[in-house]
Amino acid sequence: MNSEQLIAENLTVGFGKEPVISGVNIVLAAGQIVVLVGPNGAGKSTLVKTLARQLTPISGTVMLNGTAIWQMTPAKFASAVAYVPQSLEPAQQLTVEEIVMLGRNPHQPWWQWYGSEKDKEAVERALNATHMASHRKKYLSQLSGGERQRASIATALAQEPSFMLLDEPTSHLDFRHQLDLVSLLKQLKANGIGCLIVLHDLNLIARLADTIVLLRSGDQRTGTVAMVGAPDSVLTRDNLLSVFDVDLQIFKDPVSGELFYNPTHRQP
Amino acid sequence: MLFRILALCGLLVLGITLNLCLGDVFFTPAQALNALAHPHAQTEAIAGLHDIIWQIRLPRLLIAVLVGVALSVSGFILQALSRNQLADPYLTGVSSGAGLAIAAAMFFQLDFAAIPLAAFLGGLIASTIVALMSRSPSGLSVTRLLLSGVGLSAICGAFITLILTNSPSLAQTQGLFFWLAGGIAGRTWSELGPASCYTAAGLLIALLMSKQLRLLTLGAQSAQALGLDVARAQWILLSAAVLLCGAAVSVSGLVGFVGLIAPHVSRRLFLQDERVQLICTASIGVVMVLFSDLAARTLGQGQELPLGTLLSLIGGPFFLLLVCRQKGENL
Repeated sequence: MNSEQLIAENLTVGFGKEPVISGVNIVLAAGQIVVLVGPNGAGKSTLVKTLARQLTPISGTVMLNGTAIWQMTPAKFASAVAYVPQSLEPAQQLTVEEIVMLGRNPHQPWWQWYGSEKDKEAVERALNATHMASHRKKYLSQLSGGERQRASIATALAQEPSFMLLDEPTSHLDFRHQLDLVSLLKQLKANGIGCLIVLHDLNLIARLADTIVLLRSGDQRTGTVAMVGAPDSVLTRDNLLSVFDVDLQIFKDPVSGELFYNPTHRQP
Repeated sequence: MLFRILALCGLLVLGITLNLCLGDVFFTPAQALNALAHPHAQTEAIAGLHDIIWQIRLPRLLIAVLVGVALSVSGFILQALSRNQLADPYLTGVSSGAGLAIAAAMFFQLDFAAIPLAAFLGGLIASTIVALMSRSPSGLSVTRLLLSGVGLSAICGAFITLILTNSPSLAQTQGLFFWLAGGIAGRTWSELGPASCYTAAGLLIALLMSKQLRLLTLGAQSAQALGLDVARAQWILLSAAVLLCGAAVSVSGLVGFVGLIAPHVSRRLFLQDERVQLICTASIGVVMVLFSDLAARTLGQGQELPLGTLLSLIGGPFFLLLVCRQKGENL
């Protein structure tokens, strides 16, 4: 196990001078899965974008292995951290294979056009891991939302990063591919890759997360961190009620012992 | 695919041959080839014909090639940068700046030889203003680039009209009109030099940066996530596009349409990687300009027709045909 870490320190992020979420501290270590949970508008995506070096924070820093990410070149950062946005913009006239090959860009010199053997192997692994190998020759515009999302994840895998930031990676996936993604994420964790994931499905979260960062949309619409901890300490009825204003039943599967979350009704 | 590439090559050869052979004086291809093979005429008898090829037809042919390459590649870059198939080289303000510079040069009765340089500088200044206005923290804001390009073009257009209406002589108005309508009649070797340097540089940059062009078609956000220095790539590519377009405008005036159509046709006919597409785009641009220029000097019965107008007349229907055949696809 190595000691690589992506750390957000006292981060306030937003667009322009308007903070969307403030006072965030997150430590993402190698082989860890951290899940961001919170209501719409709490600033989850903005936070992930900042960690992905897409937005400059209003204050605070993000450090990758001891270096502020804004002092790294885009290629150096992208070879260590992959970002999967909520939706991949449909590019014209690129096949799945070509897009996934672009994931190799941070490892290539700027003038290198064709993938080396090593690049091709990485692309092959990424396509197989996301069950996209049979779609490799299809154009992105021919794919469904879920397939496009898997192509996006495959591109990130081809980057062979140490950390992955995934913004609602299951939003377009059917439940079979959701399960596939869960096992893929567990595999990545076993390989020592740290993942930060934005998720809404409490049952998936409970099965995946090592650490949960529960966000709350605060006064004047600036979000804050409500709680950080292991799933069983964060995902309690009282915590979720206070953040989401929703009551839920939590029960234990008698066979597997896993917890199930069933949101029942909204509190006034 | 092979058939299409062969057809394109055939059109190129045909265009070049016809441009050398047809005109007020007719040559057979063998005569033209013979003259080309011997830079210095061997006998007095053929010296006149020889001069027509070497001093008139060849520079004009090369300038047509240059204008075709420069405009089409410039359009290709800008369409990829803006991820908009409607983008053309003139959106960057190059044409309007160059047009205004030409109008001003004529109004102040500068030497005719100074006009290409004035056009080039005017184009550069205008596109620099547009580019500076579209700066954003994460590189170029494409929307602002298009909007400020349109705005600046309107201002320059207004000034050109003012100059045209206040022009003291009819001859001056006519001269200005021909520059604005575009054309490559009477161009000589001296105008070819600088413009071909800029064109070669722009084409080389585009070819070297084709992976970056492909990354940018994913959108700035994804391109950055994949390790591209988006701002730097955008600036280099935009500069290349402006150089290319400025070079074309400086020798041909405002020739429209090629930069819009050639990349589009290339994308429709040659689904290939960016390098192949760049070469095909350039070839299509050259074919378009060659045939239009041929028409410009042979159909007019003693008077040159404006090249830009002919390009639209010939290219327009073909373009519309392509658009109609694409129904249902992601247009």
